[in-house]
Amino acid sequence: MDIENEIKKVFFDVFPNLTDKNYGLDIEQNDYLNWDSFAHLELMTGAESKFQIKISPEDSLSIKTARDLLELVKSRI
Amino acid sequence: MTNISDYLIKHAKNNPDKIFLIVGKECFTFKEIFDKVEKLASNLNNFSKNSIISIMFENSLEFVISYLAIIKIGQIVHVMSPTISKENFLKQINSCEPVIILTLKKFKNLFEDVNTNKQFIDFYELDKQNSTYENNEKSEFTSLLYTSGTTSSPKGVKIKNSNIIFTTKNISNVLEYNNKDVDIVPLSLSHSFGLGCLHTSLYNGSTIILHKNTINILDILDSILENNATTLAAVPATLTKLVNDFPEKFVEKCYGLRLIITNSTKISKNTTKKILKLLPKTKLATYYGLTEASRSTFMIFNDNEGKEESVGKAAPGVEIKIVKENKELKNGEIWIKGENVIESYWNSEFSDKFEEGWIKTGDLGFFENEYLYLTGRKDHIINVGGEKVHPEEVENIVKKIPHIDDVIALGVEHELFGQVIKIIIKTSDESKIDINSIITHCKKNLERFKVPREVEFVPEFPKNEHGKIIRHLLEKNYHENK
Repeated sequence: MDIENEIKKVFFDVFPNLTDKNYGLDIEQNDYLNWDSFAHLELMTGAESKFQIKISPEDSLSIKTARDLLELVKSRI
Repeated sequence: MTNISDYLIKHAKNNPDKIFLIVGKECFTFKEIFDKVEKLASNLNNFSKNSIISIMFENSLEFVISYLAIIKIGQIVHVMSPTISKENFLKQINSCEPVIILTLKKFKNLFEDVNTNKQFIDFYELDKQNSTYENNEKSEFTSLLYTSGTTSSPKGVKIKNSNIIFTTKNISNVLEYNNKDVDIVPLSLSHSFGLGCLHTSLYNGSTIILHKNTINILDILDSILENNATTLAAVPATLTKLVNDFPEKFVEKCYGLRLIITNSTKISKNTTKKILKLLPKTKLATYYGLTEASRSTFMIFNDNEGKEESVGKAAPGVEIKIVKENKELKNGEIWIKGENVIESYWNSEFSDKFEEGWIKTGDLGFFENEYLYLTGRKDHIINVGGEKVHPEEVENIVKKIPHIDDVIALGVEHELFGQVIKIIIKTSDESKIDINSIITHCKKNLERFKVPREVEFVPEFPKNEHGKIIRHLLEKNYHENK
């Protein structure tokens, strides 16, 4: 499985207005205009169901970029 | 006339070097904020009395400066969140006709394809100018915030200086805010709860620490201890997450708080009990109010064991009555009267919501020994984590998708947010509808909290003899089958 691409799909699902131009693995949470608590919950549940993993509340708080989520997923599967 | 911006002058004079605002890693004293407000006020001072100036910022220095500068020059500040949908943006702008929209380039870019002739002004471009400030005649109105109305018309809540001062004094007196407080506010300033916190800190001359959101909940906890904070204002969802997921850190970081204040939607009994147990010396309070009638009750849970489900007693100077359709009923609609209540909506719309100084809230409840209990809504408005959602707004967006014959949006229970949206879709051919594409369509066209979390298909809706869908029957079915 191309995990990086699957992570990108999770982000594009949660932020439908994202484009290849404004998506990047290292773009920070604060630079997304609508990465709020609802979006964060969707990112976590999206990754949990796609990769069949469980993300704890502590781990969830450490996710501030797509790369953070990628690294977390890699460490779990 | 005193307005909330005048308190900045007072504190800049008496306590110029005291820190007023902390956002991220930046700190600003009263004098620094005063100077920035004066400068922006001078550059904004070329509009006639009662002009509307829209602002669109996240929680930031720019928000605070713009908000206070517009109030200072006696114009009316229309507050919009940058997360507003394009449809609601256009409705609000068409309703209030602002002279300009003050924002940042990154937010302006989001609305580039919206067809409006209103001028976006970049905060930093305006700030570069050097105009001369002249004291204009001031409007009695301070601000305009829109709340969820029917699909076609959001309700513009026009708030007077006197509403704000009355409410801020009540908050300060009942909850004993003072100039030694350090107030942690992880709440959007685009809402009444967050704005009330800003007013309270400014009125008392305390320090306010703004957080942009509550995603990094541990950063909020860290900022409490690092800054020796004394008060925390947070929605119930934030408090529930803290006590359920991080109880040890919550105690470690929050033991110095004298007050935790919550609002926006009813806090669960479990969360209340957990907080009182974990932090027995901290006062836990809530209040009930609407943008239209801010802080109408106060409840301090520590003094009221066994009343965890009440929103408290009427605030000083505020009258509340329950208007029942039938004397035999326990519940009725909550009506509120007092100096915290607005006189009318923008453009005098929805005048049927007012009667002889009372506002008809649409909330249902009852009194027991002077304590108010909320039981639901007269209409079908859904409360998602403190954000009000009119079901028709969601339904109208979903109906635009092909093969959907009809749709009903309901509020269903959610552990963290109190309620979330469920849609029930009537379709003659379920195979032609893709749930993911419905959700994506909603995400593109609605604010995120309005996006449905559950989807169900039905072949037919229950209808009355006039062919109208019986919405409350669907709600009842949900509650019976969950």
